[in-house]
Amino acid sequence: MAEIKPLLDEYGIIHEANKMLPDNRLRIQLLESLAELEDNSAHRLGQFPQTRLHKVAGIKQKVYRADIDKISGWRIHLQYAEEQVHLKDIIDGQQHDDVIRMIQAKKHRYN
Amino acid sequence: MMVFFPLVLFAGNIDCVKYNFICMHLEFLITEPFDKDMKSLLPVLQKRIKRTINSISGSLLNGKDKFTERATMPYLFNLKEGLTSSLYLVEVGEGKKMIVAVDDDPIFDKLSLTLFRLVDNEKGDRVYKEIGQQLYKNQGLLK
Repeated sequence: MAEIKPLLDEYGIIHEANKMLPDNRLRIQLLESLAELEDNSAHRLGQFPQTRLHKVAGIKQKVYRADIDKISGWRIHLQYAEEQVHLKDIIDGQQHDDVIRMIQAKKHRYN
Repeated sequence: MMVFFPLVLFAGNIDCVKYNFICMHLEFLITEPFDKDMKSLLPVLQKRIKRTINSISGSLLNGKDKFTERATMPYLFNLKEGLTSSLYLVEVGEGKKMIVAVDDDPIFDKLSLTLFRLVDNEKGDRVYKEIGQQLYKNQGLLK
C-alpha cells in the first residue's frame, strides 16, 4: 500500500471546490491533484508533476500552490505544518501571476 | 554504533550527499524586470551588486546579520487569514535597493529568494508597495 502524507481539510475546501469547479473534467483533475498531494513518495522525492506544487512567494507562512488544471489556472492553496498538508483555499482560474513570472532559477549563487 | 551528523546550513556549492550533511540550499528566482534592471547597469556595477547580493543572501543561512542590517519592510500589506509578508527592500550598494521575497520552503528543503526589481534608493519604497500589491492581489491574498 502506498505511503500516505496526512492531508487535512478543516475548511471544507474539497466541498467548496466541488461546488465551484465548472465541469466534471476539473473535478476529476481535483481528485488526481489531491491523490498526488497525499502521496508521500512525491514529498520524499520533491516531484509533483500533476500539481506543480511550489511555495507561494512573498508569504512567511509555508503556503503552497498546487495546480488543479494548468491551462485554466484553477488551483489550491495549502499550508504545510508539522509534516501535514492542510488545504486552505481554492483559487479561481481567471487570476494570473504575471508579476512573478520567472525567467531563470539559479542554485546557491546569483551570477 | 550510531553516528550523529550535526545540522549544517551551508550557502556554498558543497556536495551534501557525499558528506552526509543536511543542507538547505539557496535558490535565486530571477524575474524578467529584475534581469532588465540589472542589465541596464554598467558591467562593473553589475559585478559589485552581484557580489553584495551573494554576500547578503549567504548570511540568511548563517545568522542573518548582513541581511537584517540592510533589509526593511517599508509598507505593511493587509493579507488574508493572518498571513504575513516576506517581501523586503534591501540596500545593495551603488545607490540601489532590491525588492526580494525570502521564502523558507521545507517541502523542497531550500530557501528561495525571488528577485523582483533593482531600483534607485529613492524609488525603493514606492516600487516595494507596487510590487507587493500586485503580487498579493494576483495570488488572491490581499484583503
